[in-house]
Amino acid sequence: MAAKTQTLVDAPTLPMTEAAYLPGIAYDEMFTPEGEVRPHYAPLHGRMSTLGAEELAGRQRTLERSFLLQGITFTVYGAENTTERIIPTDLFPRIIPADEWKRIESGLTQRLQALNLFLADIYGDQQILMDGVVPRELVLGAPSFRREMQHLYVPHKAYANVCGSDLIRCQDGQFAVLEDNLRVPSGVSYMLANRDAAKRTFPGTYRAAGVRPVERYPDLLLSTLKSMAAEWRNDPQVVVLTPGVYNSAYYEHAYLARLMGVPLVEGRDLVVHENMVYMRTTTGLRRVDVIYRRVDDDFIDPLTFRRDSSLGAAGLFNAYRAGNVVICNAPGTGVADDKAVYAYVPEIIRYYLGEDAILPNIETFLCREPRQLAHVLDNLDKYVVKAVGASGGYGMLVGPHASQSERDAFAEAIKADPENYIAQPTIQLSTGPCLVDGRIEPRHVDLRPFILSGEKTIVTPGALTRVALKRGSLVVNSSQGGGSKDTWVLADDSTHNGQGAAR
Amino acid sequence: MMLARVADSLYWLGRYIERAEHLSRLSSVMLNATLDQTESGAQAVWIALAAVGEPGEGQAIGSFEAAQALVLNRGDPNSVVSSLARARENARQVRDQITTETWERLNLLYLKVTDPRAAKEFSDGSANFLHDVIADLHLFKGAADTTMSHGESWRFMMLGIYMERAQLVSRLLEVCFAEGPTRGRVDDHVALVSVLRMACALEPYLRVYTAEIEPRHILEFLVFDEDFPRSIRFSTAQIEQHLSALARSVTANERAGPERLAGRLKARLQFADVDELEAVGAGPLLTTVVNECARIHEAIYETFVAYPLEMRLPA
Amino acid sequence: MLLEIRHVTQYHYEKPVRESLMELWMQPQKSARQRLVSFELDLEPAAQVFSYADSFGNAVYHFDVPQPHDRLTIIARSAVETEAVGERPDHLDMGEWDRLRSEFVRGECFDFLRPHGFVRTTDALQTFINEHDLDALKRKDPLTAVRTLSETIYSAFEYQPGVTDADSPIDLALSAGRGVCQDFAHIMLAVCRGWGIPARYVSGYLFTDREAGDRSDPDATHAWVEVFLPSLRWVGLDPTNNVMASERHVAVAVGRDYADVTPSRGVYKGDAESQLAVGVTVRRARAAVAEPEFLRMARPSFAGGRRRPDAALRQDLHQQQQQQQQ
Repeated sequence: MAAKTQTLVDAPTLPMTEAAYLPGIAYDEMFTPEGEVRPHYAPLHGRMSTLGAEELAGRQRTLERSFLLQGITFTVYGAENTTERIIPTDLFPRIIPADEWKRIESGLTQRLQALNLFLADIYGDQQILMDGVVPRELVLGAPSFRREMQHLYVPHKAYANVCGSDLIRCQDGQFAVLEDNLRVPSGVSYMLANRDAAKRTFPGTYRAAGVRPVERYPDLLLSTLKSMAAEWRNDPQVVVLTPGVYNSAYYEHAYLARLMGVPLVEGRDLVVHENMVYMRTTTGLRRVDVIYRRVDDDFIDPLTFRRDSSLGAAGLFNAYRAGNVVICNAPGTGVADDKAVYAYVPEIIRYYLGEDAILPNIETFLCREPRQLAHVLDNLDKYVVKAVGASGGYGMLVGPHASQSERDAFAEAIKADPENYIAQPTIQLSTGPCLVDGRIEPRHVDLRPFILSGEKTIVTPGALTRVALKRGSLVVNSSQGGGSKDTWVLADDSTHNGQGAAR
Repeated sequence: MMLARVADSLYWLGRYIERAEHLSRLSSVMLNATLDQTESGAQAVWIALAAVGEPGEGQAIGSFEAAQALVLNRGDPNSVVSSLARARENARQVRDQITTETWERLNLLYLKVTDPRAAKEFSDGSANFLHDVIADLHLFKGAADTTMSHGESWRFMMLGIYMERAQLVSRLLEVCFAEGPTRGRVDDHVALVSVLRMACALEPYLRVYTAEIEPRHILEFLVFDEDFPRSIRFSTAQIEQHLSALARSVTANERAGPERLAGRLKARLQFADVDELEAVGAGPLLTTVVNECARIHEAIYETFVAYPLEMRLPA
Repeated sequence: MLLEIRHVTQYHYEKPVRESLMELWMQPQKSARQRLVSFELDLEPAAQVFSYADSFGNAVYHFDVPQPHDRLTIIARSAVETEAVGERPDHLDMGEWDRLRSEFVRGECFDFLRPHGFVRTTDALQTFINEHDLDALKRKDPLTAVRTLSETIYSAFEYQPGVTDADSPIDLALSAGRGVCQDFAHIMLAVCRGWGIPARYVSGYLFTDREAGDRSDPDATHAWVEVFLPSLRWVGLDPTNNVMASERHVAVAVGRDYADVTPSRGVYKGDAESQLAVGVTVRRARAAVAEPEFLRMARPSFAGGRRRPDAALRQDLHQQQQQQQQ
């Protein structure tokens, strides 16, 4: 071991000591504050120690090349030429022990159940609004509230069939929910592609660790979607609806359609006739039962929603209302992942399930409340302020990292439209080991697990771990320079207590 | 069962693949011919450029530059790189329909020809560059053949390949022999060999006719040979075969379906022979092939892709 | 009063279009003072008709025409028996303002208390409010306030079709000092909601009586306003004709503004301009119901909006095919 360490010092790569790795004040996934390797990371840590910088860089290149080849890319349209970029992928997996996962799993299940009940209620009798648990204004006044959904029957009350919640691990080591994504969450293809890559990069470590498989996601998604179809439709026809090849998540749409073995359709492939939805095939029109749509609410039907949309199918919503087709996720789920409604989710869970939330929220201040607004404005340097309607890391102020003039400008924006902003304390997301410029360094990570909900609620035993690749950055969104890595959920914590490195 | 739009994309995928291969081969033969400063070299350049509709280009900008533009000019919709970009764009549209093996071949090739270093690679060794492009396209076709189900998706792609091939070969022969085998503009031995190379036919030709390179034999071989995969007869037979298989699942249509048009074209070629071409020139028959292909193309659209909705409403 | 209504809508396309889908808000309401005797739709080309209730409780009919067509005619025929509105007090007590602030009203009438679409207090409307000192009406009881408001709008504006159209914001009528029923309704809704009185847009028909002072166009659909006063429930006011909604008013649909209850709207595929012509006849029953005397041509556009992106897309595809055929 000593000799190996010696070579590694020559090739300045490996975090054999806490000093070399330099975790910050955040919780580190691999090391304890005392510099000990956490038991569930021991095999990976051992394996890392045996690989030189050259070797690691080579594997990283192989990984990136394989992503490029598979077309797991997004397209950057430039004035001169168009280039394909991959979302940066880190080859070290993030590892979550079984007992921690158990808590995450039950917390996510509880949360999604409550949110689906909330959606069923606000699109039904609105009991929760009458009881004053959630302010009426917040729900009925939200642009994402779809009056068209009122009193519609949704099978199993499963409004959000696919949910991709964003969790973070706080300084105390506890996971908390940062955001619920109930509209058209994406990233699951990266989860699957990262897994594929990680198995090739660290086959021995993977086998020895006892990692729970994620490969069943496509068929679980398909059965979730099928469980939404009317019972009398034997063998329902499921399709994936994509905005088209120019959408940044097109790869994922095609990938899921291919792995589920169902057609990938665009709006122009669909025809609504006499309240039924059909797709145009080479042999004529064919009935469609379930649409897994990756198109936003506004664009799915120009007759009912945005008139200028060419991405959807005219008449689709009327067919849905009549029960002749199912749209997944249901239109109007966005009202439940609204950043202001988020603050009430613990109340919502208590209201419908009579339980305390297993996974806590991040403390949230609603600028619509005058007293909270005053507090936020006085302490802008301490908070992250987000626009309620925006996503993807846009419309956001990270107070501690902003300049005084940036904060002043943002304060004006908040004062002009306080209802549109919330504030949260700056959370030091946990850090994990990443390969950056040939060195292993800690980078902040979050966690996006995927939850399916139809007849049953299923939490996929894995997740997309997003990485803020810039040193010190807390923003993991891919649009803001984030990357991703595989996430290993261990089946059993007892099998590996740091006994040596697997080959 | 497949989406009409998907069928359309697969068909065009096939056409662009075939076009890219043909253009690469024309460029390759043309560049090779210019190595000899002879009249036959100039003829080969002229044939290649005339076959893509730009006969004067060689004199205007020089044959190397013309070939380079034919391969790498992204501004020209009929260059190799544009054809590959469109093939890939169509493949991306139907990514769920083609196998990963097939897609990766095409994607790899696309990334290679669009790489900023491609121009330098081309000027450092155009022969190798084009050889690799053609070989990669063969790998693509091989991957499609061995990994895709030979069902509807595959048939639409093959249909595109053979439709494009029939038209490209017809065009090449029209340029060379429109007035008939003996009165054509191309009579030079080396130029005739270049024509065979452009049709990827030299070796198979030699096995049938030996090294006697005669315009009459070239026409006979490239128009009528039953076994050579680039002959017009072979291509039209393939078109007819794929269309018949595809049309089986389409409910009866009062209009003449594309498979019937294809059958008629196939029969026309069966009943013609090289003596007819000698008598009246190859022009009329080749024009018929090009026109009939255009009609089949229209009929494919009307039957499988852009059919009027009211004709196919469920009962 | 037994009324028969014939409402003819005709779309004419410069070139044949296909895959038209259309939604209609045309069936008169069923309510305590309005009994729907019959309702029929005639479509040319013929199509299967479906219906649903929208989130405001209106009956919506919809259908599709897949085959190419250059004309689409919708004839809606209704027979309705209306009742005169019963005795109403001239005014209410000032406590009505407090009742309006109750949690129940704010909950039940959430949508009708907020700005929406063209119903919002613009600068021009604020000027209008100031000029007519409308906010002083808040010192009266709510019923007197809304009646005076209706009267003020009636006298401040001239009724003149053609100045504004279906997509006009209220500022156009406010600056011109003239407009039609839709503009007056939107203006009145914005003021009422600004006062905290729930107010909704009503589309319908009027059995016009010139002798009663009606000035609105008898050959068109009509629109007015309903306000919610807790003591009286929904009360209809017609600022166009300076009357309370009466047995001559046939309500069809209610919404936040005109866009919620457009009599007909739809989409189609095809790159063609369209013209819309509408004719309405309202008659006392037993008198024969005549054809509308003429069809009024609206501006040459499609009420539902032409699907330009679709047309553009088709053009793209078309261009691509041209390109691909080379």
